[in-house]
Amino acid sequence: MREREAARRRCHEAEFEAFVAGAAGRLLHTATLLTAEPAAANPRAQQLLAAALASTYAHWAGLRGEDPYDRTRQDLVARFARGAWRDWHLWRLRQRLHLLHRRPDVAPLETVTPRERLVMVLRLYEGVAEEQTAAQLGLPLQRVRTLCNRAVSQLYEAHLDARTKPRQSPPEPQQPHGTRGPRGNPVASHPKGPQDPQPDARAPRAVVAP
Amino acid sequence: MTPRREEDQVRRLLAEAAHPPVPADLLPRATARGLRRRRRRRVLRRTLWTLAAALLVAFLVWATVTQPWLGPPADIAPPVGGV
Repeated sequence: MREREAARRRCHEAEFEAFVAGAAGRLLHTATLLTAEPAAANPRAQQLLAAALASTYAHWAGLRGEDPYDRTRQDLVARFARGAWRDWHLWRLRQRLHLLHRRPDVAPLETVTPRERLVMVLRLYEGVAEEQTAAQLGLPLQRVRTLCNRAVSQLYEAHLDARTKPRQSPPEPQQPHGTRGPRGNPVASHPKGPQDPQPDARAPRAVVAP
Repeated sequence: MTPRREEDQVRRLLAEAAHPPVPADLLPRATARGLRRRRRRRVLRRTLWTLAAALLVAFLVWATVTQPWLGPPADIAPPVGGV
């Protein structure tokens, strides 16, 4: 009995080791994108990933055909989402107090809110379908779409645009979180409205507008 | 809806960001923690089952001793009066 138990454990250990060898690199990259840490110093991403992997290993015997990669990613996402909002506010506070030096390689990712980042990374890096993302995060589909679009346009402005265009002025201080939406940028004024099927939110304004 | 081009560029940006090296102690750390967690869960499960069994035994013993389904004994009798 005891021997069989030990043999099974060794088998699980070998399987888990193979899984980690194959998946850890990608998962760690995902975690690092989520936490917006630089690749060279990502203690929080490592911590998240270790916890998620530990959970997967603890349930290894009961996986029964479930994809361990999906399970680990889900766990990782849930852990990140739980701590993300608090961390974001701490980060803003530190930034306001000028305690934080902006790091050039990941700064753009840090300017996107954790939730937007989460949706964006799941959709664009992990390639999870919109419906699945919405189900995993417990959000309506439309909200997932909005979050992803907002993150993309903001990141595009903050990083990709800056790379192609020469910068005229030193980077201005971050705008407060709340005023980000209606900023008159070329991206936000894109045909966002007509394709957003939110008639209840927009129709009354259209009536008043003329 | 953001234009497709922007989305593709951001996708590329995410994929091409510097890949962090996987620390060597990740596997042993995760394994040890997972084992600990599994053990803790097993202990908890065992404790709960034992507790449930103990409760069941206690209930059965109490029931056989007191036999609550028999009504209360009719031990209220009129006082014996008159001597």
